[in-house]
Amino acid sequence: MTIVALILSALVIAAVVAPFLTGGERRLQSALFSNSPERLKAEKQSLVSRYLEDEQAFVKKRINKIMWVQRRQYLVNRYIDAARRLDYLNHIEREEANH
Amino acid sequence: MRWLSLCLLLLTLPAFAEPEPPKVDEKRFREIANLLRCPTCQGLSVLESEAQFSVQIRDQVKKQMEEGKSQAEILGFFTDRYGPWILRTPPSDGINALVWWGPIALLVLGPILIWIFVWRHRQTVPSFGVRSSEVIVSEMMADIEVEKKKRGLL
Repeated sequence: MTIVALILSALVIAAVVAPFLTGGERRLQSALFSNSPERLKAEKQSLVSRYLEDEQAFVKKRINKIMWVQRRQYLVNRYIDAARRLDYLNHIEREEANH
Repeated sequence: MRWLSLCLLLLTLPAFAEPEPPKVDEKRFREIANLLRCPTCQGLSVLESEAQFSVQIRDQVKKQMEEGKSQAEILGFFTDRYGPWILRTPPSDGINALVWWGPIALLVLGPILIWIFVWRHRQTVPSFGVRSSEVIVSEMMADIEVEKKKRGLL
C-alpha cells in the first residue's frame, strides 16, 4: 500500500513539474506556444483571411449586416490582441539583443 | 363763572395730554429688526422672536429710529456692542469676505487645483513596444488591402 502511494505521489509531482521541464527558456510549455512570434504572425494572417471570407459572405448576402458587424469586430479585436503580444515579444527580443 | 371755568379747562386740556410719539416707519423697522439676530434663540431674528432680549433690542431700534438714525448707524450701534455676530447676514468686507468668497473660490479653483495636482503627479507607463489599437487596426486594414489585391478582389 505504501509503495502504491509513493508511486502515485511521484506521478503527480512529475505531472505538475513536467511543463517547466519541457518548455525550455524557463517558460511553461503553453506560454512558449502562445508566445511564439511565428504562431502570432500566422494567427494575424489567418484573421486577415477570415476577415476577407466573412466580408465576401456579407457581399454575397450569405450573412446579414448585424452578423457581419459582430464578426468584423471580433476579428479586429483578436487581431489587436495578437499584434500587441507580437509587439511585446519583439520588444523583449530587442531588449535582450541590446544587453 | 362756571361756564368760563369749563371753557378754560377745555382749552388747557391738550397741554396736559402726553405728547404723541413720533411715527416710526413700520416697514423700515421690520427690515432693520429682521437683520438682527435674536441672541437667545436659534435661527430667529429679533423681529420673529418674543424673547425678552429681542423685545429690548426692538425697543432700542424703535428708539433710535425715532431719533432719526439711519439703518447703518443702528446696525453699527448693535455691532459695536455685540460684534458682527448680531447681524444675521455677515458683512462682506475684511476677514468676513472669506465667508462670501471662500466657497465660490473653492468651487472654481478646486477642480483646477486638483487637475494641476494630478497633472503634475502623472506617471507615464512604459508601452514596452506595444502600439496603440488605432495603429494596429490601420495595419490590419493595410494587410487586408494587400490580401485583396493578391486574391484579385479589387
